[in-house]
Amino acid sequence: MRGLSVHQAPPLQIIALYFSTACVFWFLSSLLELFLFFKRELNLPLLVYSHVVGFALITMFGALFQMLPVVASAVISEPLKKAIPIYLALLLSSLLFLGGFLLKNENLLLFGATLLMLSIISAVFLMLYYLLPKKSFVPAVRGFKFSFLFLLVATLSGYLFLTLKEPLFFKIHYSFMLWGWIGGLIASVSFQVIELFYTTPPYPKFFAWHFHILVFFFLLFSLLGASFPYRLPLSILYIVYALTTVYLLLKSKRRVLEYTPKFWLLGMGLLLLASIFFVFGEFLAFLVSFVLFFSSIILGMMQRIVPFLVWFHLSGFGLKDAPLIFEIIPPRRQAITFYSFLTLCLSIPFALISTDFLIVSIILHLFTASVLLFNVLGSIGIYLKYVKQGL
Amino acid sequence: MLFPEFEGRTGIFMGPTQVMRMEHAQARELIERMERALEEKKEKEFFAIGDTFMILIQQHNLKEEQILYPMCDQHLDPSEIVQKMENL
Repeated sequence: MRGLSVHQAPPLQIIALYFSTACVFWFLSSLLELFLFFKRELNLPLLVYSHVVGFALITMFGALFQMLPVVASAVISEPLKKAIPIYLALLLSSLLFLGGFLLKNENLLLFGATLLMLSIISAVFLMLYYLLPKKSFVPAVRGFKFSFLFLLVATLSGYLFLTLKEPLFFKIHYSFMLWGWIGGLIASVSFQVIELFYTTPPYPKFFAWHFHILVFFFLLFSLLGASFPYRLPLSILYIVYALTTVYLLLKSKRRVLEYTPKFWLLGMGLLLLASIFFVFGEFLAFLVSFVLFFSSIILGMMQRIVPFLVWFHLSGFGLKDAPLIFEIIPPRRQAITFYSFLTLCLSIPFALISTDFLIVSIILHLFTASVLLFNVLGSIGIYLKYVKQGL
Repeated sequence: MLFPEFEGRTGIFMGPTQVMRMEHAQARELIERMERALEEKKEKEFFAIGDTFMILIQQHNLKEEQILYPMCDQHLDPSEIVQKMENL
């Protein structure tokens, strides 16, 4: 356990830094959408990467710094000294990379992509250094290892596509990034938290243990051809995963006062849609529903993890009657993000009918992102207030 | 029983056993708060504390199973420990 902070847990600063930055990126994404809407321009790569890199990747690395010691017993020594340089590298490279897309500047894009690739590889190698020697006692740990592998493949293939313009690399890139890294990591987390947090029956053991291996083989299979049957196994696997998760959540025995399970249910519905659009080759609809899927899960988990850690650290410092999760982010404020995000999801089909309707979706995104940012920064503010008062 | 044995054998006093003790204290404090809420018939508060308690315990169990027990397996003799526990 060497390297943990005084109260024996990865320092709150790591989660605070990564999650608040990710929220800012999600907020900026909505502003970019607004800017592009008024310019009447569809800059899909900019919008997708602001979500995949700025929002998801940064959130996931922050969460992994927290989860690896707890779930996998992979304790990263002196975590702050490692998390901060990685954070700065990811932040700078993401900004340059996104700036390249925004300004349509090839040199800036390539420079940003190079830095981003190096940042991601450094982060993955650091985490794998601590994770690989650990035996996978639970499916989540095996899932983490596979997810890192998928991220490496996605990153390298993305870079190769950018430099060589070979379409196959693009296909490898988005498949491994979305289905492998993001989908794989969310599945790993769900195998651990759904049963524990919501008192549900467990995932079928065989399914959870073999899920990531199947993702790996089905991803490779999907690369062999462009037609429908090649994509079918991967889609079916994720459909089975989504339906299983919905079934388990509906079997929950716990009286739930908060909105995280609803975010999971909504996320699984969006994953079902993404899987169906993927198999039928509807690429844009697939991308949109997949981005909404992981956004839903991140929204839910972030508003659960941050207040818990604030309570945990304050209480660990010896603060009597430290504010509880529900006092830090009250369920009604979680509800605002849930219902505004749900309305955002429901508004998108209308935007496909008339692009003018996009403004409604964008405003809903802007609103949800603002409330999320307020909830997360507010939680960190509560922690800082007590620390400044000397507890 | 287990913690002193582990600490004595490994010489690690500020490691996982310290974390476990701290979290046991946190859990006890939450139970006291739940008792108070129950006595005062504050239903919402009771469930709110219960919610924090549940997450604390779940992540605590994970730490026990993923960190402390594997370390105990490495450093302690299970039959000897079980015998000592039975003799308590």
